[in-house]
Amino acid sequence: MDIAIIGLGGIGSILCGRLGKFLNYSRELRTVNVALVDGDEYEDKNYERQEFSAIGNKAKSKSIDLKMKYPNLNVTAHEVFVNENTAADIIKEGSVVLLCVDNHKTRKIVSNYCKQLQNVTLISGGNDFIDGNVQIYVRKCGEDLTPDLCSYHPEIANPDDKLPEEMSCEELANSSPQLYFANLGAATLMCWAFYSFVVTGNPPMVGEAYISDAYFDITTMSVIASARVVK
Amino acid sequence: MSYKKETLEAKTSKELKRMCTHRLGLPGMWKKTKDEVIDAIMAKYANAPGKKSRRAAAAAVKEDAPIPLGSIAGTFRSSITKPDAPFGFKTSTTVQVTCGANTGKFPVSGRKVSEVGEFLREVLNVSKLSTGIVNGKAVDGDYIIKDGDVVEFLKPAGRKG
Repeated sequence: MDIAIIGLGGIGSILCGRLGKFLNYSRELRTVNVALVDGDEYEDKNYERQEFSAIGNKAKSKSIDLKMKYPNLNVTAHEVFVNENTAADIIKEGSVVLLCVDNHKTRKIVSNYCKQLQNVTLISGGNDFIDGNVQIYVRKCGEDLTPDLCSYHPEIANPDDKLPEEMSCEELANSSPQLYFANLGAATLMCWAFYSFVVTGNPPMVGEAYISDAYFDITTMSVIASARVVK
Repeated sequence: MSYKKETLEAKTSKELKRMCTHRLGLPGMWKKTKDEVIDAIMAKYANAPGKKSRRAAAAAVKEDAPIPLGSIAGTFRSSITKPDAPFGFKTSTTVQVTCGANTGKFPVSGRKVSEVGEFLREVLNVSKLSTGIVNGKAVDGDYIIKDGDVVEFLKPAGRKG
């Protein structure tokens, strides 16, 4: 199995630590290939919310962390941002993609690329300050089991934001504030979705339907999953 | 018991009113006109089944025998939403309505999706541009919510990560 963790900021840096631990001690999954993908750098200001041990490229820094902690894992670092040109190098047929980016434009690119594959599992997490959501897009044998990321989300289908490489230093510095617990919430739901997929080979289910979205809210301490029909 | 209009018209007004009070369980007819009384009797008994023989009645019971309770599947949710209403009208079916991680059961059956979105805007934090999804499918604002529907108002995906 090939696993790609795209985006190693607030959600991704937490997620890859938890997932690394799970995979390292799993008899069946310790041989998987884990690709860590991010073109950005860890800085001092990121210590507040992001989990890393060394300043520098995020993919490189986290891959060193994971290799030291979990020697059984096969981890590779891709020091690039995902865009139309790089998606094919990172996402393979049959991959499990854990998408933890901070913009809808990248979500759209990755979702559209996955739509061209026969078999792929895309688990995407995002958050605002005190709430967030996880989307689960699964394709099997060329058919969508759940809706792609854009289907029910016009804000992703028609993104009004920019890719990280398109943003100026000022725009990057002025990003909206985030809460560590919101990142942790999204990372946790993504781990749940991943585990469910590993165990059953399918998206998590509610009744007879596949779950495609799950929302959480820290202030009301609630998590709600919903199953939406493929359009 | 069933009645034909011609039979009723053949009776006098007094006879009809007495019949209503003593035999048909239709009170309040003494001040009505003959036509109104006949209409009331017809409304209540026109489609009532006639007398059946014991054997026919037994056969009908067999055919219409209810399905054993154990084989009934499904869910039904209701709650007292009108405590001051007359007996028999105190409950109404509630519908599960969700927006993001907020959810609740509301008596919105028979209402338009757009009305419900407006009505629950502050309760569930429904955005003005939010699309309505009923039973997993996107619907227009004009869709009338039915008992048993599961309604969701789409919350935009979290942007940051």
